[in-house]
Amino acid sequence: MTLSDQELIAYADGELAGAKRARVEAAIAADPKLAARLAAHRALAAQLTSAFDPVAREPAPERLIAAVSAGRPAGATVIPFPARRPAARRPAWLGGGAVAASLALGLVLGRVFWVGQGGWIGDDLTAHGPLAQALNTQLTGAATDSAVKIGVSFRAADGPICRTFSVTRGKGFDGLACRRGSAWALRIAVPATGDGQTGDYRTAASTLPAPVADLAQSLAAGPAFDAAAEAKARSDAWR
Amino acid sequence: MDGFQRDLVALLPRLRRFARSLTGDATLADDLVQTAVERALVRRDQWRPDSALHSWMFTLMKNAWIDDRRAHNRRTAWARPAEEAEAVADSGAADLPTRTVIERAMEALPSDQRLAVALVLVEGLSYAEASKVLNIPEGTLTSRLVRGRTTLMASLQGLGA
Repeated sequence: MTLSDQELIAYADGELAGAKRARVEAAIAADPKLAARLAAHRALAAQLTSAFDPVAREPAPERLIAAVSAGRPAGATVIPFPARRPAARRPAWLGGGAVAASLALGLVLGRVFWVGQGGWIGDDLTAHGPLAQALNTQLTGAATDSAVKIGVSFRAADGPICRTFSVTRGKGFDGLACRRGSAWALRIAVPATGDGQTGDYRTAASTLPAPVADLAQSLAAGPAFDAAAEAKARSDAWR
Repeated sequence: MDGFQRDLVALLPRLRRFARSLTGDATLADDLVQTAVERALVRRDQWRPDSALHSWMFTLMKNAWIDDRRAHNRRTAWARPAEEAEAVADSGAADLPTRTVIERAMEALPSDQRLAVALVLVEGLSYAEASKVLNIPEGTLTSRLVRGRTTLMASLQGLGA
């Protein structure tokens, strides 16, 4: 009598009853090889149980209990910027809707991200100061004292070159900016995470935070630039 | 804490065990549990009390784990080759030598087989329950179990266990 692995395993896992179970038991009784296979499956199950059961006997860490008792968590702060700012529709009574909107966003930014007195991000949501300088000059992976680390560079499907970056000054944030004229327009910025302790996260962050990686992937026309392509893009002024 | 939260706390040991069998790393496992717990608290009105809370939580954990793996793969794909080694190290794979042979054997399983093995052999779910958690037919579950167990036995032999 032949027995499939499926039947033997189902029997080992206690999933068979009645006639099916009796059939397997008869087959095992008649065939020592089957009995050995069954024993091997049971040994595997026992090995798995003894490997992982101790975890369930440990007291749960405080941070998990705190996560449960905190109730509904506050959503992570991610501020996506519009790809193109809408043409300013100017109500006669106000300077301009877009200006008002960017001022409001600037306030949010000022609170959420590190925007120094020198202004790393202007009210028009383009990079300024050291951020602009890094985006203009720094190559990926370059050893630098700058508080900005460039992640990857690539060409977006709709034309401009875009670069991801991490700002390590202050609370820190990660973002993605695309070339617009001779400026870098921010497309997304995500505050550095890590329970307020930015140190570990910042130094370990050779990878992009998911929202930035997602946006990069959806924008990109092809793979990220390699070193040669990036250097050429820089000498072409990122056009 | 209300009743729902107390039930979640009572489930934490099982959730941690399940997470450990998936990730093989204590910190990654607890991160996964935390993500699932936070999602559960956000979506608690989607849980129907006529279904077991642990099954619902296992489903949330499975989804969170798959999301994590996708995001990790995507980020690795975006990393420069020089940074790739670093990215792998970040994932905790550098701890490999300290892991038990079982954890290493589990790590080598494709994710669909690892989920099936973890739910049935580590968590002791019935085939019916496990296939509901994974949202797959029972026949698919059993074939993943057969392949997973066969691979595990072979790699445990290879690892000298």
